[in-house]
Amino acid sequence: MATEPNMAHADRSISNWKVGLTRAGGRRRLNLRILIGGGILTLFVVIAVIAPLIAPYDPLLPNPARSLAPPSAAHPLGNDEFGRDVLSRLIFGTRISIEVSMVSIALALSVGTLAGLLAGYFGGLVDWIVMRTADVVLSVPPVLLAIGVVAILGPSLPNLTLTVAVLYAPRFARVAYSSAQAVRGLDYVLAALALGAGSTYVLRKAVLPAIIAPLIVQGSLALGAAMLLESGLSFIGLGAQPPTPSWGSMVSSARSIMERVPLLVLSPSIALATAILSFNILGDGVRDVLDPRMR
Amino acid sequence: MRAYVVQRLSLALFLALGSASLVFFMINLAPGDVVLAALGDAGGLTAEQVRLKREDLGLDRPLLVQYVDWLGRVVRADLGASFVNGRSIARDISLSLPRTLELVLAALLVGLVLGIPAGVYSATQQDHWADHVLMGASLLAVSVPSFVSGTLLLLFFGLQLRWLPVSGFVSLADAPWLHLRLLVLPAATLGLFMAALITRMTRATMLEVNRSDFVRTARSKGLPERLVLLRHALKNALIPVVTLTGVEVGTLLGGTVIIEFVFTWPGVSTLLITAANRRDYPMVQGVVLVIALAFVLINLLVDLLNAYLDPRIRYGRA
Repeated sequence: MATEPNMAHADRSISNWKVGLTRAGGRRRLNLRILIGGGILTLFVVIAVIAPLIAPYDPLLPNPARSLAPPSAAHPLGNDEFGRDVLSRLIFGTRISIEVSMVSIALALSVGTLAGLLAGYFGGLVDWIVMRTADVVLSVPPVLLAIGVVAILGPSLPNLTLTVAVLYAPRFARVAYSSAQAVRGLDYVLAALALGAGSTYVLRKAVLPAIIAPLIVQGSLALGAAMLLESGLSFIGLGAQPPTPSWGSMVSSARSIMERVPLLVLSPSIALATAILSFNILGDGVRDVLDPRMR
Repeated sequence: MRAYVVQRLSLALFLALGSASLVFFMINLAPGDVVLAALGDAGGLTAEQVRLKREDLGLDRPLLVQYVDWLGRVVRADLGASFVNGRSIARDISLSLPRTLELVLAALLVGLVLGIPAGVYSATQQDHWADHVLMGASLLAVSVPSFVSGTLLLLFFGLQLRWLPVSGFVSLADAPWLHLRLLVLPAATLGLFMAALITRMTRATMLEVNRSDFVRTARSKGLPERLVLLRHALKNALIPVVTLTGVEVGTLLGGTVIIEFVFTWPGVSTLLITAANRRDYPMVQGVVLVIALAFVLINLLVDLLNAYLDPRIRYGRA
C-alpha cells in the first residue's frame, strides 16, 4: 500500500503541518474551542487528582438507612441503592475515567510512535511486520476486540487499560510511519546522514519534530475514544468491577431502578457526556489549528 | 479498474486471513488455560478428566496444527460448538446475525435521511446561527455514549411517556407491529449517532465542493441555486460521504454491541456478551471472527463502490 504516490502525499502534508503551526496564532475562534475543551478537561483532571480531599464521603461505604435517599444538604446528589453517597462516587469515578484513558493512550502513543518510526525509517521486514499488524488490528471494530480480549484475560481495569493501548497503538504507528518514510529521503536528512549522524540522532532531531502536530491531534481524539470504551465496557460488566465507582457501571446499576430514581442514571450520564464532549471539542479545535486541510 | 479491483481484493483477503489469525492466537496464546477456565467453574475435575477433555477438543496438539485445522474448518463455515451448551456456533450466529443487520440497516436509514439534508442545510447556512445549532447538536450527539443516550431515550419514551415498549424481542413474522415498535428506540439511538456523523461529513464536503470551479461556473451561468446545490454540488459531495458512511457501518456494527445490551435485542452482540461473561471461548472466537470478516467485506465493498464513482481513485492508485 505504501508506495511512491503515498510518500509524495505524506511529504506534502508534513510541510502543511508546519505551516499550520505557524499560522495557529491568528485563529481566535479555534483557540476558544481549545480553551473550553482544555479548561473542562483540566478541571476533570484536578478533580481526579484531589478526589480524596474533596469527596464528602467514602465512595464505597454503604449506609442501608439512606438507601435511595433523595438529594439533601448533606448528600447533594442523594444516595444509591446501597446508601452510598452519589456525589462521592461521581468524584472518584472521574479518577477511573481519567486514569484509564490517559494511561492507555500514553502507552499507545509511545509504543505506536516508536514502532511506526522504526518501520518508516528502516523499511524492509520491520516495515512489513509492523504495518501489516497495524492493518489487521485496525480491521476489527475496537469494541469487539476489547470484549474478546477482556473476556480472555478476565474483566479488570488494568486488563482493560492494556487492551485499549493495544487497540490504539496502530493509529499512532500509522501517523509516525508515513512521516518517517517521507522525511527519510529529504535533503536535510541525507545531509545529516552524510555528515555522519546516526539513525537515532536523525529520528530524534529530524523526524520526531515533524510528527508532533499530527500525534497531538490523534492523541486528543483517542483520549475521548478511550474514555468511551472504558465506560462502555464497564457498563456491560467487562470493565470496572463492583464496588469500584466507574461512571459506566454507575449508569448500568442504576438502570433497574431508574423509573423511581432518574437522578441516579442522570448524574453519571451527564458527567460522562461532559467529559467526552470536552475531549471532542479540544480534539476538533486542535485539528482545525494544526491541520490546514480542515480550513 | 481491473488492476485496482485485484489489488483491493488481495488486500481484503490478507486482512481476512490476518483478522482470523488474530482471533485464533488471541484466544490460544492468552495466559491461563482455556479448558481449565471453561470447565473449572463447573465443578472439581481431576487432572485425568482435564487431560481427556483437552484430547477431546484437540488442544493437546501443536499450536500450528490446531491453527491450520481451525482455519480449514472456518473456511467450511464450521465454527465448532459452544463450551457451555454444546450448540453449533455457526447456527447460533446465523440465527442472530440477521437481527443485528436489521438494526444496523434501520440505524443507517435514520442516519442518511436525517444527516444528508441537515448537512446540506448547515453548509448553505455556514457560520449563521442555524449552522451553529446543527453543528453543536451533532457534536453533542457524537459525544454522548450510545449506552447513555439509549438509556435516556428508554427512560423518557419507554418508562415516562410509555409510548414505546421498553425492551424485548418478537420476530417480524409473529408480531410485525410490535417488532417494529421494539425496533424504534434502538434504531433511533444508533441512528441519531450516525445522523450526527453524516451531517458533519456532508457539511464539510459540501463546503469544499462549493468552492470548486465547476460550481462557480454553474452559478455564474445563471442556474438556480437549488439546481446548483442538488445537481452539481451534492452529487459530487456525496462521494466522500459514501466512503465515510461505509467505514462508519463498521462503527455501527461495534455500536450495536452496547445497544443490543441496553435494549436486550437478541443479535450477535448479545451472543458475544453472554459468551464473554460465561468464558465460552469458542463462541467469543466465532462471533468476533464473523463480525471482523463482515467489517473487512464492508470496507472492500465501499472501496470498490468508491472507485466506481470516482475514477480518480482507480487511476490514481492502481
